[in-house]
Amino acid sequence: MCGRHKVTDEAAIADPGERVLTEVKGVEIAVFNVDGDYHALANFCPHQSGPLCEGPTQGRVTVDDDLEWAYDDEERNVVCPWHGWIFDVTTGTNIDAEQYTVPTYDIEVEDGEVFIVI
Amino acid sequence: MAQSQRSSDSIRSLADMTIVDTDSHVTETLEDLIPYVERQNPGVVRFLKNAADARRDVYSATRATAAFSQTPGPLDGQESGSDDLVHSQVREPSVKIELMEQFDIDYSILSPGLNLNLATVNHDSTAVAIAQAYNSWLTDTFLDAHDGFRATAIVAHQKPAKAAEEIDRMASEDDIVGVQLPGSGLVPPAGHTWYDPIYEAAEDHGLPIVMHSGNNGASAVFPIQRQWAETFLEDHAFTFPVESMWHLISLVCQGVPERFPDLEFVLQECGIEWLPWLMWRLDDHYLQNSQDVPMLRRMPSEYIKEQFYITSQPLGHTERNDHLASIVEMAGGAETLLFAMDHPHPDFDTPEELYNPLCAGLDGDSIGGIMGETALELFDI
Repeated sequence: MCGRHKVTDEAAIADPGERVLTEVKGVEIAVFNVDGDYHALANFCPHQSGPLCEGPTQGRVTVDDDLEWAYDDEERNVVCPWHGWIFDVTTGTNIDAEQYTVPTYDIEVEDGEVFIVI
Repeated sequence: MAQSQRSSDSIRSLADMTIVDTDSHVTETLEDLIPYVERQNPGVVRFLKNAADARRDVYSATRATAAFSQTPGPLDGQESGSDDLVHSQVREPSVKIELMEQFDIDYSILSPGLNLNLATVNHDSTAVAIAQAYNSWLTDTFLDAHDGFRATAIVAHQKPAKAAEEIDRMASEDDIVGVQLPGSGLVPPAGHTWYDPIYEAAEDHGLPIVMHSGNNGASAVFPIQRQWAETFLEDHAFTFPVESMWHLISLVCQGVPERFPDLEFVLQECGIEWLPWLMWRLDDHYLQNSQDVPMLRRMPSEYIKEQFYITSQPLGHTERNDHLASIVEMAGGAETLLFAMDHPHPDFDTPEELYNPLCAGLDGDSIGGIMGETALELFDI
């Protein structure tokens, strides 16, 4: 299954926050537009095999130097709809426990078409 | 490899180990403390002198029924005791020294008795006065009497700034190795910013916060659950571990280990068998609810393993020794568990009570750490 697989036309995910869910050789993969950049992630949560990439994307609650609550509104995190585990779409890493990761895939864009490289 | 194995085997004998009892009670009474209050805080001494019943008129400390009524041991503030060494009152050093010699205890970390209820004192200035009096009495009565005596200095959480001043005062005593913040009846839970001045002072002096659990103050903290316990057995079995779970969850989830990264905590007399389960439970909750606790940068169990310790007594009664050894290993082994005897309370454990089951599953180095070496490092002995 190695090679380049078309996911979508770029126009379909041209706006930040949009995503496309596809299947490549039996593997469900989502491509997210995060702030204009594309990131591909397996639609699989390592917690209990939930459909991770069907969950909402969001920023994250954080704290400032005085430990007062703040919010980082860069919507680069996807929340598993089953149990709420959160992964950074750009790295595939759980934002709370880096030992939990989701496969990521390289993206290529050519002539208005988006490809996943596996 | 062979040399390492020999080294490990060489300390498997309890007799070769340094034994530190990390929860060794004195049994102070108001009578012991009143002269100190009279000198240091005369404005409130009448509250103590006129108390018909200390547990009612000074503290708010109750039990469901009489404690350990099958056993003749003394309990906090009771005048009566037994001539039996393991059950004697400890208002002067000789009893404790004799006990340490009998059980080959090298160091005893002295804990309060009656003042495990300090958090239940309603009048804040009286609580501060009692804490100061206890610390002075303890220093004068015990600390120079034996090379193996170390102690925690108690603080009244009712006035955190005063508690911090008391930590500053007592930290100059070489034999004070921790700050006792009794967990029984302590409201709000220990993770609240109310306690920050106490934690800041303890961290500045390199002293761990030591929280002894108890059932006497629990009627205020767990009013429904505690008051429906009809007997001491139900009361005692429930309150000690649950109280410590409450404080531990609060401390971790409110980010105290992040706010005070050099501060360590010791939970006393709450059992250890629940700790692996709680770490698993907190980690599971964290991964599903991390946005509730944005101050945390790591899994809750990582903070617990790095900054928290728990004392061993009372051990649960297990059918098989290897079960207890497995639980201890899961709880962090010598990184977490500290031997404690709890003399002179009726549910005390001898060193063998812990040592023997640990031999069913832990290596000699781990057992040596649990019996004393970890405590030597933690308390800078």
